[in-house]
Order: sequence, then C-alpha cells, then structure tokens
Amino acid sequence: MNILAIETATSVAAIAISSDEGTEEVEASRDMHHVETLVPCIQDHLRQRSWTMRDLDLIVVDIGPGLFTGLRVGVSAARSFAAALDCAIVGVSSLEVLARQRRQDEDCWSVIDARRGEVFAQHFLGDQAVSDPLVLTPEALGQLAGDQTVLIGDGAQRYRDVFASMGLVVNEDVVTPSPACAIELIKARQLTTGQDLRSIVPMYLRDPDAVANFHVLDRFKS
Amino acid sequence: MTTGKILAIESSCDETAAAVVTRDLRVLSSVVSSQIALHESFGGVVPEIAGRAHLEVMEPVVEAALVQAGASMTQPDIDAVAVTAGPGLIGSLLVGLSAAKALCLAWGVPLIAVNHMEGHLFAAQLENPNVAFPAVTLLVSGGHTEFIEVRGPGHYRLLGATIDDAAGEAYDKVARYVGLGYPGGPAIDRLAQGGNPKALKLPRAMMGDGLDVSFSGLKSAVIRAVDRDDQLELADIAASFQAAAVDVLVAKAMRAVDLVDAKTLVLGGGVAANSELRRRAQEACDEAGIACALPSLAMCTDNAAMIGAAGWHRLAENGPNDLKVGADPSWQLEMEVLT
Ligand SMILES: [Zn+2]
Repeated sequence: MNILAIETATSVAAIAISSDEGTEEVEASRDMHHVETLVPCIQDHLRQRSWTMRDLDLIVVDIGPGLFTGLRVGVSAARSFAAALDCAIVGVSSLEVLARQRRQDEDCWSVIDARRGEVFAQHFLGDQAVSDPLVLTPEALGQLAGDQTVLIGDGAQRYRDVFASMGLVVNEDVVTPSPACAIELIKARQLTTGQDLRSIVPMYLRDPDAVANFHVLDRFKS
Repeated sequence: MTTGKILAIESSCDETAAAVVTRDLRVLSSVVSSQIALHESFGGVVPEIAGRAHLEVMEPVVEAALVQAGASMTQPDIDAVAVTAGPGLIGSLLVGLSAAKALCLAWGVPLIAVNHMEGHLFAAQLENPNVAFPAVTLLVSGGHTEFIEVRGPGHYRLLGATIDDAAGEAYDKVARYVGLGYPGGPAIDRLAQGGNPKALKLPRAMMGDGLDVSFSGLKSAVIRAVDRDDQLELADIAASFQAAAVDVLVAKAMRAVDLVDAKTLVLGGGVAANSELRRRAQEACDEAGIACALPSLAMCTDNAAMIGAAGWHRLAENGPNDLKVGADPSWQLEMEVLT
C-alpha cells in the first residue's frame, strides 16, 4: 500500500511517503512556508521514486489542533488530492501523533503551541487518550498535569521554563508531529480504508476571533 | 490547442468560486458559494470565519463546476488551473491556492496565478467580447474604488482611486449605522427607490479636481445628519446618500473617459450591481456617444469565470507559474500610474 502523509499543524511543513519497502520522511520547510513548499515537496519526492500521484492508495493528513493557516494549507491540498485521484483519505490528530512519537513514557501530555499565550494539549496513558484535546494556558496545563507525566511537543518546549518551575519534565527530543508516525498510527488502528472526504476538516478548538470579540466591531460604526 | 479549457478557482474574500472557461472565453460553468449569511451578524467579513468556510466548500464547488462543464474530478478534461493568488485575505487565498496546486499535481496540468483585480478587469470581456479600446473601467466594490484605463488586455493605467474608504465600504458603514444590516449596498439601493434624493444636503467631495475620490466625508455627513434628526425617513437617507455617491462616481468616470478619449466605459466590482449607478452611467455614456459595458450582476461580484479569463491572458503572456508560487494578500496589479 502506497501512502502519502501531510503534516502542516505547526510552523514546520513535512511529508512522508510509505510503500511496502518502508517509509521516508521529508521536511518541506520551517517558518510557515506551507503553501509555497508543500506541493512542490510532494512533487519532488514522487519524481525521485518515478511515481505519479496515481500510484498513491491513501492520503493521511494531520487535522490538528495546530496553527490554523498551516492546517488549512494541508487539509485543502489533501482533500483536493483525494477528490482528484478518487483515493482514500484519513485525518489524524496532531496530539495523538505526538503521543505516539514518545519512546518510553507511559504517562504523557502532548502539547502544541497555540500562539497567543496558550497551548493545545491532551493527556495520554499508554496508547489511550485520557482527556479531551484542550486549549489552555501553560500555567493551567501545569496545574492539571501530575508530576509523573512527561510533556512533549513544540508547546512543551516553548514554555519549558514555566513547566520546569512547576516541577514538570519536558521531553527534549520530540518537537513537531512526524508524518511517518502518522502513517504508523493509521496502520496500527487499521484506518487505512479512509473516511468520508467531506468530514475531513481541521480541529480548531477555538472560536474565530470575531465570535469571541464581537464588540470590537463597534469601532467601525463611524 | 484551440479548444483548451481552464478550471479557475477564486477564494480571495467571502465567495468560494470555481468555473470552467474556454480559450475563446466561453464560460462553460461558473459556480459561486456565497458566505454572506455567515458574516451577516458581524456586519462585515470575518477573516477566520471566511477561511474556515472556504475550506469546507472548496472541493464541492470545484466538483460542481467540472460536472456542469460535462467533466468530473477524476476526468477533468482541462488544460490548466488558474487561481487567485492575491490581493485578498491571506487565510482565504491559501485555501484556493493550496487546492489549485494539489489539483495541478494530481492531474498533471500547469498552474496559473492570477491577480484578483485583473480578474475584475476581464469580467467585462466575458459578456462584451467586442469592448472597444481604450476603455475606462470603474472598479467599485467593498475593497476598491478605482478608475483604470484599459488599452487592451494586460495594458492598464491607474487614473484615479479613493483616498480613503472604498465606495462599497461607505455603503456598508452607512447601512450599518441606520440598522440596515450587511451587506449594505442592496439594502440601500432598494430603499432609495422610494426616497427623496434631495432630502439631505450631502457633500460631493473633490468634485472640482483630479480623478481621485473620497467617501469618508460623505459617510460622516450622513451619520451627522441622522444623529441630528431622528425623524428622517430611511428611504430619504438612502436616496440622498446614494445620489451623492453616484454623482461623484459618474462625474469622475466621465472625466476619466474624456482624459484618455475612451470608447467604452466599463463597470466592475460588487457596487457595479447598483441600479442607480448603472442607470446614470448608461445615461452619461449615451450623452457622450460612447459605449457603456454593464456586466450582469453575477459578473460584477466575485466569481471564478473572470479569473479564468484573466488566466488565459496570463498564460499567453507569461506562461504557467511554478508550483512554489505563494499567496500575496497585497499583490498590486502592474499598472502605469497617471503622472
Ligand atoms: Zn473582487
């Protein structure tokens, strides 16, 4: 089975391509250049294998939570690929992919930078999610997390000092979700037959700004 | 290749649109999914809401455009994909551009990045293939008020523009102030039909000089008048405001026509759907003995057919774009500036 995984939930854009021979993971860009680099990166790596898009059987896409503009680039491309190729598509959660990337910690929180002083976070024990995905301040997360846990992800590293001051351990190895791990996760969960294309939308967890700040619009009154 | 087809995609603001346009600029399909209902309660376009909505309807809208043109997502029967790469809301542009790139790679066809403004300038071409040049295009919408000399496809000169609010913005702000909701243009237009355009004494700013216009003073004058007298009839407010706005737009447009000796006046943009502006522009053109190209309402507002038309031109002029092309929310169309 030939699988393409698309990862755009953080400021890093990456892809993984997997076949029976194994999985190759490539970083397309750092610093929010998703729309410029994602599709050209896929093009390059298909070419290197002498594949075309038609050789793909499944598209895996990270649906977040994460940075909205990045997610939209990845999900928009993934949905268009799946529709144009009539190929299966499946969405994965960035927090679940991160949790799978930890090597030995049984108890962990996946933590992704949500900007504006907050993080997206979810608690896992072994392979099981034991909380919903949340959006909260690092301080609030620190109070929620027990001292037996390990925090992983770019949000954990960004607020490393906050967590350290609360006696929490930050994993220094895992930064952003790995598309190769996303493929592993999909295979482990036997989700390779795909989902309804139109159900693949980003997990935002936050209302659009304007909904939260409706009153701000009053300033346009005059 | 004489019968080629372009799939065009537009998502720069609050309409998600796709169209199939032939090389000889026949529109085989044009699908527009409007988000007006989503933004209504906020009195204007909310960028994050727009970005989310584009993502959900992009692929269904593209599919509908292909199906209406007798093709399908897997058998698209097209030669290139044209997409708006700017100007516009970045979170909205990204959705269309990313989808377009993915489709190009999946189908093995070239990508064409189109400037949204150039799309508006081509909208008239789709319905009036015989527009006589030079033409003056008055581009009026919520984001634009520009007088542009068009000497032919790809040859533009900016003659004048608003120095503050766009005309459509003034319509929206006045409408919101008097409680008419969003978008303001159609509501004011409807009400104005039964009102007295001379009920309020309103300024016609900058009528004396140049080709630039200003609408912020007019908007403020309406608001002051409404604050002073709460007995004013809504219809009279609408009619007076509309008369002042249209007076300025038509007078400046005809001054631009004189300046460049234009053979045609073209209206474009959402405000070009305004009935009073259309009536008065036609009247002024008849008087001046030049043609007046009034696009249908569907061609005035944002759509993808106009992006397809501009796409064919860009493909012929510059060839296709690299898949690395980015979105540019403030992409300025290359235009000479009147000095
Ligand atoms: Zn427009």
